[in-house]
Amino acid sequence: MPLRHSLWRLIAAIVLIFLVIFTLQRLPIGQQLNLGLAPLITALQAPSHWWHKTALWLQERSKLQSDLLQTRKAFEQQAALIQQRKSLLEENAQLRKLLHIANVQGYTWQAAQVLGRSPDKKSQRLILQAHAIPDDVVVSSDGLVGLVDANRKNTAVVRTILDASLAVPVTLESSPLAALIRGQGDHLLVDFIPLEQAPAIGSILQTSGAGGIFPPGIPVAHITHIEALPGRIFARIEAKPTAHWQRENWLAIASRIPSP
Amino acid sequence: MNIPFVLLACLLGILVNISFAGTSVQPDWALALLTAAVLAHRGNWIWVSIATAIHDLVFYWSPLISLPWILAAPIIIAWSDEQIGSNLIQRLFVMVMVLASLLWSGWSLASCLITILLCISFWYAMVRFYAQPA
Repeated sequence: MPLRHSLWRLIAAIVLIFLVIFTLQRLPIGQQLNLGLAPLITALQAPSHWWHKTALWLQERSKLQSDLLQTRKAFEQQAALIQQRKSLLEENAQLRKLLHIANVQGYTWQAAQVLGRSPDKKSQRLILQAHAIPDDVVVSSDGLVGLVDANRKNTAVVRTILDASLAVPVTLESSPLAALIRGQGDHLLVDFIPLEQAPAIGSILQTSGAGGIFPPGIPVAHITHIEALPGRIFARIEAKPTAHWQRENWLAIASRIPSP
Repeated sequence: MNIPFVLLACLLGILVNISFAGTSVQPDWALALLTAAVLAHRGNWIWVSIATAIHDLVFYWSPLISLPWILAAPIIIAWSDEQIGSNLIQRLFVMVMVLASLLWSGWSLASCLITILLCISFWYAMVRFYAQPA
């Protein structure tokens, strides 16, 4: 009788554990925990920031003066470039209108500091210090990084494109190719490309804009491996992200401008 | 053993991992501590499992990375103790089994090896709390 009693208790414990795990799997608790830890991470990183600021403060006066002169010169050059950019943007908008090309703008950009990252080799999840909302697009200077998954005050957690739950519609520049990139943890898989249409190894795939989440034209991945699968229509194509966010301290966030 | 102190150390380890990931190779401080706690005394499995679930949720947004191995650890230890007697071998096997899960979750081999070494150190320190005087 006691054996039967303890067996029931064991079964009840196993069922309870499975229920808890199933619930934890379904709810976005990890994201909220990351957001909750953000102030502690900031506090932990504070000494290194103070050290950096002190090192800057202790730099020689002459070096600071020469830096200032260089910065002023760069600023003047930047001002000229901004002016040139404005006129080019206007010209571009007119040309787009003439060629009937869809307007790819409609996003506001902001810089975001990387506060923390998941400790796996590829840093599949990031914590950013920025005002962002879920589904905002995160990019580095090299290409697409991922999507904002959750936010709180001025902190956001990002699911990168290496995460298996994210699929990005991609294409090749000036090509009708339409494919989907899915994360596989340490590499990417490109779906729905027949072998005869497969781009060459090294080709760079960019966002197609399909689906409306990712702006078109952002580099996503370069192809590293193509393999024919017997009996299958589509080839197995592996790729690596063009962006390297494992060591970047700053990233950019593109937020969609709400349509009026 | 001072459980709140171990949990606080785990939290600090998690924060260090997140803050300085990408700057240098580092061990999984929290998992090393939690594995050592369950190896030192398998009765610790309840609070160790809860802490491992939180560890997994913070790092991977899923509780199914290290938690299943931590849950299996006391069962394997209890079963093997019954079969072949209390020994160090099965505990070492369990430690490698739990910490090898890091490799599947994308940690580098170097991080995994450092975590194993760290776990052995913590285990050695924790065992003294449960050692009974002869």
